[in-house]
Amino acid sequence: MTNAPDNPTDPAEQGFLNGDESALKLAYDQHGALIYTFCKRSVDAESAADLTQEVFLAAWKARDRFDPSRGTLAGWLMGIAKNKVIDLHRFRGRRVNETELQTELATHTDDSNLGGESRIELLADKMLLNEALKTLNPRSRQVLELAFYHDLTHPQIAEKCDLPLGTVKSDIRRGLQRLRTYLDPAHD
Amino acid sequence: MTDHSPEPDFSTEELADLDRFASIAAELTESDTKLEAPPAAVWAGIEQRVGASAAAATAVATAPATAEPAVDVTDRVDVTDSAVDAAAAPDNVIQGPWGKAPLLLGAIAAAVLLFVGAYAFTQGNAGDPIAEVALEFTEGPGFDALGANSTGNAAILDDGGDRCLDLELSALPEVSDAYLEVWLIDTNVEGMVSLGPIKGDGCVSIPASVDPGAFPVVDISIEPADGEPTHSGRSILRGVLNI
Repeated sequence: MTNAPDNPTDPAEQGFLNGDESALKLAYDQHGALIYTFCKRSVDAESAADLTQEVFLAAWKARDRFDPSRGTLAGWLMGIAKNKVIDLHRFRGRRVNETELQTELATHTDDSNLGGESRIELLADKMLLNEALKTLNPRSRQVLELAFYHDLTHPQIAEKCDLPLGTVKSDIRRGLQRLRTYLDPAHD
Repeated sequence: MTDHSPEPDFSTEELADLDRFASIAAELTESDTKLEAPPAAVWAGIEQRVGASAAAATAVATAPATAEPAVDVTDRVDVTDSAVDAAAAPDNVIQGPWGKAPLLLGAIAAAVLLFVGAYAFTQGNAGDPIAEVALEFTEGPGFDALGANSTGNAAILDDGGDRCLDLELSALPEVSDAYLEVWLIDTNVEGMVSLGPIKGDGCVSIPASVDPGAFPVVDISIEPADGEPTHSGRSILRGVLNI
């Protein structure tokens, strides 16, 4: 599967490839809040700060393994973060941040049978999905949101947005491609 | 509505992805969309740890040519990746005997990997040094700017089985409420041996039980007179013996 993003070359991604140290700062400015928030919702605040540091250091160390044709930097960083959070949970042998877990369970009773690691995977996916949607143009985003949240059929979306069905389909197709670059990074 | 457009129908794979993403989207709540900026210390820590490696890489790149290399400089390993690896890997921030100086570790670890093999190594005639290295100051984490003008040379001499580290130092900093101390450090940066306080040139005794080959990094640091036996993390000169 080709996950080539159709957005223009990202300077942070390009800098990562070139080993340009300023790219690390750029990547941090762009994705630091995403990674930190993900960590903080998965572990305690102090560990979250440490993990965030480790994610960016590990990413920088392994930057020659980053391939933008196989996924976005955000998706790659989140993959590293997910592994570090799961490692920490395994190391501690318990689910950290029980309050967060209970909140989550209260909100989504369907999650009640999800283990800690599945919950972490889902949280990462949700946050990446949101990030990916933000990068779509407003029309494509609206089309996808109608498909996702309102469960409308494609002809219904076309009618509601007053768009040709072909446009709705191509918007959805492009949106899916973009989402894959965030949620399915095919890195090592 | 009939689709007369050339846009092809969705493949099975696309439909599966659509379902999968829709089920994730269904779980998305407002709280998932709110991002919190990390505390400023997070970036400061990253910068510091990446900077330590960069300093080590610079140290190698600017290694002095005063000691005649036994190995051609072109034989040196590529510095950049190893240096970054050494300092970026969390495992290198070892506490333990270093106490106050975890930052130093990455820089030394990287420098050690790269300096080894780059310096003169003579052996044989009585009176000749067993090993010798130019000591140099490197700007960056782990080094104290007070040593910016300092230079030196360290050589291991063997006088009938009694070995000493012969130091020739110049432009040493004036330190108040502190003293200079010389250390031998291992290449894994896991252990070190203090050879004690120094005032300047002289041959500092190396205990017979200490194998300099196991601790080839020569390091001179500024140590505050605070009773703390660990390395301060404020080096002024450093070099790696090829032994």
